[in-house]
Amino acid sequence: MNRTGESSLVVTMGLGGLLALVTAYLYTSSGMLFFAALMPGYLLMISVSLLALVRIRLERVAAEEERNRAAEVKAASSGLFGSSGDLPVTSRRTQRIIETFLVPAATPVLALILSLWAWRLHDGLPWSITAPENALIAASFLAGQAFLLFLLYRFMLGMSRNAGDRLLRGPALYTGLLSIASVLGAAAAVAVHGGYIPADTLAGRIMTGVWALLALELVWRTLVMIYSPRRRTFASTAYESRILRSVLSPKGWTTSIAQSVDYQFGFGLSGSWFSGFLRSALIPLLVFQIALFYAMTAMTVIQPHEVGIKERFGRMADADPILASGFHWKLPWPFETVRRVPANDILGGAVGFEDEDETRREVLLWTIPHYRNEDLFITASRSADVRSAGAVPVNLLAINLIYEYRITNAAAYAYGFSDPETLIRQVAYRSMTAEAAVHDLSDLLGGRREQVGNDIRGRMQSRADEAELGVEILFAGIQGIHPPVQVADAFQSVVGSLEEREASILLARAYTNSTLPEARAEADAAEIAAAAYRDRRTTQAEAENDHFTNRLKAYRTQPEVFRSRLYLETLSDALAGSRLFIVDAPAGTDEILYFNFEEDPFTSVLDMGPLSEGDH
Amino acid sequence: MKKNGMMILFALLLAGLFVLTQVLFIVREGEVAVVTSLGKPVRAVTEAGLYNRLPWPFHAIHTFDNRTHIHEGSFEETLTSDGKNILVSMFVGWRIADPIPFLERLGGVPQAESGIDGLLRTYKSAVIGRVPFSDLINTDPDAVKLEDIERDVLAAIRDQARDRYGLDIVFTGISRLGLPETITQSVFDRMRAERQELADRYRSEGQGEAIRIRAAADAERDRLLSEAEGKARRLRAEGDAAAAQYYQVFAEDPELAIFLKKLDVLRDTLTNDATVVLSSDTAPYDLLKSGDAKR
Repeated sequence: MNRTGESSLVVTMGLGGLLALVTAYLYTSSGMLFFAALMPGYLLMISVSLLALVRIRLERVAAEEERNRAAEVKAASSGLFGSSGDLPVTSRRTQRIIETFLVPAATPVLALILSLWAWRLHDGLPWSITAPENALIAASFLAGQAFLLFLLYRFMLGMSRNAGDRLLRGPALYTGLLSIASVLGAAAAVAVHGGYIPADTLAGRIMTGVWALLALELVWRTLVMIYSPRRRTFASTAYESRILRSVLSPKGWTTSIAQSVDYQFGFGLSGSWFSGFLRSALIPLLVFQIALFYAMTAMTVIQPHEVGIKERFGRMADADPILASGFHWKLPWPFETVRRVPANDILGGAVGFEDEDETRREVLLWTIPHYRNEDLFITASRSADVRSAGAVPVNLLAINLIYEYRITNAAAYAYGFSDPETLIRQVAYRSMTAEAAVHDLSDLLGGRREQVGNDIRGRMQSRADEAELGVEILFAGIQGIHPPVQVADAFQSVVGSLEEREASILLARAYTNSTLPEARAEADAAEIAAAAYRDRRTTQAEAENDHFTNRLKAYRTQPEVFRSRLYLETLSDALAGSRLFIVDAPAGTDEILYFNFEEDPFTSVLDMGPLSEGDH
Repeated sequence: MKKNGMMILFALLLAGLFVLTQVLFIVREGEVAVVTSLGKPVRAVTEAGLYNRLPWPFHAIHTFDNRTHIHEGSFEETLTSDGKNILVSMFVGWRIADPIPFLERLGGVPQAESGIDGLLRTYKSAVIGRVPFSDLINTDPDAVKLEDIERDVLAAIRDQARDRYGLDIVFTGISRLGLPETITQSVFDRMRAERQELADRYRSEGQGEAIRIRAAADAERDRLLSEAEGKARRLRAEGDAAAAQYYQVFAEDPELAIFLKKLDVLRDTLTNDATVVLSSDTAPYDLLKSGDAKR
């Protein structure tokens, strides 16, 4: 009896258990997340090996028992004593039980465990990127494990081609899978050691995907097992993944491809010379492809905005190290490399704001922030009354500065600084801070803005030259400057007050313009009235003078007559329309009797009475 | 057989390449490498190029970026010598001076950055604590000593960085100045008050000017009116004088003048509506008494 199969299975199980323990230890000590992703593989390998071992062993023991029983029967038939009687073939019954119940159940159980584990890996484990330690040890362990498992896998796969050891195929396939997974892990560990930390997470995710795929396939096989008519024969190897078999037995898949091609085309295409040629030339073609890729590293294309620096074995090439835009030949990869520098591009940056929002408003007002984050710069202040102790004689302004520069010396830019853009930005900030610290607020807000921009450019250029940066600052300018949004309304109200001042003055002038002409007119009127009075008086007096003089002449000639005549004429004129009462006034009496006969004095008899003076 | 030969050749090629990667290494321009043998540093390679080494457990290669790195310090609050709070942010340009002490004491760029950060913060506060606020912000450009501060900080940290960490500090710079939030608020208030004062000043200037203009207008008007008043009075006086001149003729016969004047008054005052009571002695009505008798 060839027990090699069994012993190899035992070896597999033992080795698998040991390796799983080492893996668990390495997971905790190194922190490489890939080890956690590797664990389901050990489970598969060990459980399937155990199952196969049990089945092979049972088969063997059952066959042995049957042979013994046959021999016994033969011996018992020739003997007198039927000594043992019918011994029940327990092994065969056990085998039947196992084959009927345990083996088909293995597939769904494995599927369930695998899917749960894959889900846990995907969801629960922290896939954050931490730097694993001892990555090199992990890599060497995984490489060694890969090698051992590979040997086991090839051995068991080869053995499984024999009819009696066919059950070895399952364990072989899972061992092979674990071996390939270990290779992947070793590569990831080497990458991590080299500095590329995300390789660990990437490899872990790949393994999670593999387990998920395998779980799906096992679920599918379970369903086929339940509903397929070839239940019994299919069920015995349902837990072997078909996908794995097609991947891990290459000869298997070339022949299966050939078979399906033949089937599709209806004739023996796989026997033709072309497919034979393909099959034999596949490896050389692959090698040629790799060589071609490698040869392509001997060519390089420099974009129009770039300049290339050729480095031979890491140091700048002695002859013509600067490559202009276009196509260039060079030695392939490790011998010569090209470092690209954006030397023909105009690079730039901004100071004092973060320009990420693309929503442009139509009107930029001082009371609304122009950008999301704006820095405030301290400016000096000329206000004289702010020299009191404790008070800070400064103003704050929000300044947006942009600058543009160009690389003039590619080698200095590339080899002098690890982060030249940051340096230029810091220098820009510094220049802006220094300029703001010596200017007053009204200088910056007013007409000196352009001058200040030029000064900043000069400062930046001298600093860059001092540091030997190899750039030329083309432009620096204050794109926007405004007082902090919180005090902008106070600034706006100053303009309003200027307007108010003008308004007051203009109203006063209007008052002047209305008052003075009026006054002038009044003055003229008064003067004219006075002149008229004077003239009138003069003329009047003159006339009276003449009048009197004439009358005097007349009077002197006849005084009495003149007087009487004049008096009587005057009286007749004067009393012309008046109501006259001529009363005889006896001397010495003050009593005057007055009778008015125009009116009707006796209205009635009873009214007769003495008339008193008060009645009329 | 031929296929086997190809495969063997290919495998030999791969093996040879693998061996080469284990005995050679490249140091790129701008990098520096330290060769350690079983953990102990053996030599530092500062020039770029191709060098040989022993395979892995015997020699390990650590490469570092040898260019000047820029470290941005934090925006921290410090006190000036006259007790004013100010936020200062400085940046430092540093590079690896001695690779072997760098590897031994620091081990990598992040550790170096934290070491430099510590040095920077200490000496930045110390240097700024020695200068008054007016050395930082001042309308007089000569009084502002930002560059001196930068130089002092550089001098202070350069030796320390060299001795302690094996780093060379190339330059320092003050990138930003700021004010803490509470002081910022009071500065805003002051700015607002300043603007308010300006606005009030303009407004009162306007009002003052308006009052002045109005007063001038009123004065002018009064002047015009009083001038005219004076002139009018003079004219009227002239008239009266002329009239008086003419009335002198009455002196020749004052009685006649008075008599004529009485007649005028009689004529003017006895209007149509007057009711006149006369004595019968009044001429011409004395005729009523005497009739046609000759008297």
